[in-house]
Amino acid sequence: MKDSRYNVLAAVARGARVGALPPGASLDHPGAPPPVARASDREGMIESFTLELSKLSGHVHRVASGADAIESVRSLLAQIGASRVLAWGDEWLQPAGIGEALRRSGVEIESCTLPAGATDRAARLQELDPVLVGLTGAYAALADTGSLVVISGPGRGRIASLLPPTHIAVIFAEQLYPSLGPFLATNPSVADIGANLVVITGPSRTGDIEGTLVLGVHGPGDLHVVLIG
Amino acid sequence: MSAHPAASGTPATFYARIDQALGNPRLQAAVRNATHRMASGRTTAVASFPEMDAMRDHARAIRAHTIARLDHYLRTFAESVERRGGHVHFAATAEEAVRIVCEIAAAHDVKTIVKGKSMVSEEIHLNEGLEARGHEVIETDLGEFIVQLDRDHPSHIVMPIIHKDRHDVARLFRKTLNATDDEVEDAPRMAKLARRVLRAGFLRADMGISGGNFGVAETGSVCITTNEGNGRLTTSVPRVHVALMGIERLVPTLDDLGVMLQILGKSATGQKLTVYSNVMSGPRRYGGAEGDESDGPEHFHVVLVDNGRSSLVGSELAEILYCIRCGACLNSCPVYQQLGGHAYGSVYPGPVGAVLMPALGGLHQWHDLPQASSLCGACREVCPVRIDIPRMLLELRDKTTQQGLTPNWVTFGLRVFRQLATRPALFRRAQAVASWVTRRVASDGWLRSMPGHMARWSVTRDFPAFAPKTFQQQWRERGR
Repeated sequence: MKDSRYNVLAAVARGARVGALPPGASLDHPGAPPPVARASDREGMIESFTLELSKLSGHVHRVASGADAIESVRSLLAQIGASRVLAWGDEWLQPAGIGEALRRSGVEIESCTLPAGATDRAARLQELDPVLVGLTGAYAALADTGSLVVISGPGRGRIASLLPPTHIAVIFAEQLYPSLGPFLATNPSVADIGANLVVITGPSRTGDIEGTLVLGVHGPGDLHVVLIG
Repeated sequence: MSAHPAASGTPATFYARIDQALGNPRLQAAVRNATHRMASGRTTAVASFPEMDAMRDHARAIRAHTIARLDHYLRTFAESVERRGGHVHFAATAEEAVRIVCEIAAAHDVKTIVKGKSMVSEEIHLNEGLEARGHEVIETDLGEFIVQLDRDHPSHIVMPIIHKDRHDVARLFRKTLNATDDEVEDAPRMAKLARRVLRAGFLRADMGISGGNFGVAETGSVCITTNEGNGRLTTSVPRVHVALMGIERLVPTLDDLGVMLQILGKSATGQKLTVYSNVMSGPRRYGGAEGDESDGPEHFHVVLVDNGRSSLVGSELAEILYCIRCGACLNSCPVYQQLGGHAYGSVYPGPVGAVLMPALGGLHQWHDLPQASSLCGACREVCPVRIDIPRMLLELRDKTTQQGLTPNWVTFGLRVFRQLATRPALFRRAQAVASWVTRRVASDGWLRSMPGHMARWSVTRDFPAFAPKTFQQQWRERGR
């Protein structure tokens, strides 16, 4: 295998050394991406986020306070009829105290931590499969595409936003960025925070059969964002 | 690069496959609908993003820079992945890539494998290799799942089953999954059935295999984009994750990745961003300041596949390595719109395939594909990284002639023409004969069908009869 690494790299280097560039191409890196002019004021971003996510059949519930956010999540769970929730650890959920509050109202909160061993891991996944709702926070949100940026970590399992048919994320308006470019430019070390960063733009969808739009083919088909602020 | 193993009933030659596609009105309608839908989706998305042109120029510059310094970025990428506890394997050939994946599967005692969509895995015929060693392989993208159940091949690089309609899928699900009439009533119900079947596969799988839309050199990240979420399940749920990607798939930084993601979704399906842009930087992390990560794969492998790509770096075809596999050139191509993907007989169809297949697999096997273009330039117009595909098609046609791969009758015809054209007396006499003959054979001044090797040309074209007097005759008469 080490031979192939050496050989492939040598072949690429040889080509790069002798080769001419296509017309108009330059050797230099072009630098920072071109600026994208988007709403960057608070109200403008909230409006854009709400509009874009709604266009994708996602739902935005804007609330004024943490207490209202908890109430909003509680009523969503009641509508869905979910008594079990696959959630991030309490210290990572927003707003603070939501985990405790839901438990008090009789909701069973399942941890999204998977055992490392093969058998235990498979058994735990089987157990979690029937859970109807996943509850998470987010690292950031993008106004011009209606996206959530979600990063894995201790207490922040990937499966919470992935396995159940409904995903509820609670975020603060302060977490909004105008678009993907500015988010990456101001957070250059996001890859160090967790092994998985996912930009979620709307519910899971497919158009594979005759272009007919179907929601929820593998990931959550129902996406709710409770926006505080 | 090898062709698809021929499905039963698939003709061996390109021209025979073209005839078959042109004689199938249902296929043509399906392909036309799908390509027009995607092309107009792209147009709308581009129109709503005023910075698109600047972003495309920037993306092209990133790709040009990366490919020109590819050895540097491959080294950086491999070091970054390894620093995060991942493993990087270089595969010089398709066979070596298959062997590497099989060895990883064996080392982890893997039984069931779930797969996300990966064009490279099609290219190296990975599934056959894994199944031959007794692994259960499940394609999880809805379109690819249908392709696998039907022992078919994808006909588009983004939308694998645009050649099938819902009745085809319903029939297939009844036959292979024992689906009830209710379960195949409409597309949403069929998708629901597939979700149920595939979810069981995800939960029992030991290994997930994904492609890689982009690798980020600086951070050692692999990015895959999917709409269904099967890409996330494939790379999050099983214990082992293997990402397969061509060596050219790199970008230098996360900022650059952001640029690519913004043009990819718009160009492919008309989405501002694909639903899940999934960036993976190494396996599940243990022992961080806040403790261990909750989930994720315990083992993370990246297989970088060369399979002919390194020979293109620095060549006149290097530009095809800029491609980000959005499929916009397929949707805009008047030839692809008529034929669909299967007629090409190749893993990569359409304009990009007409360059990539001969570039990677050799002109000897693939010299027909660069001929399947009117050189209208639509592919170049829509390409998010502005790849000049028509220029490379001409390069390949030129090489075809130089290598003596042009059909004998064309070479012979051109030699005859040269003999005539360089002897004025002979040329004049030939013109007189041609004029006399064609005017007698023509109806209303047009030749409707032609003999011999020209018969195929005249199926869809008429040729005008020669004028009664040649230009030179008319010139002489007017001069007097």
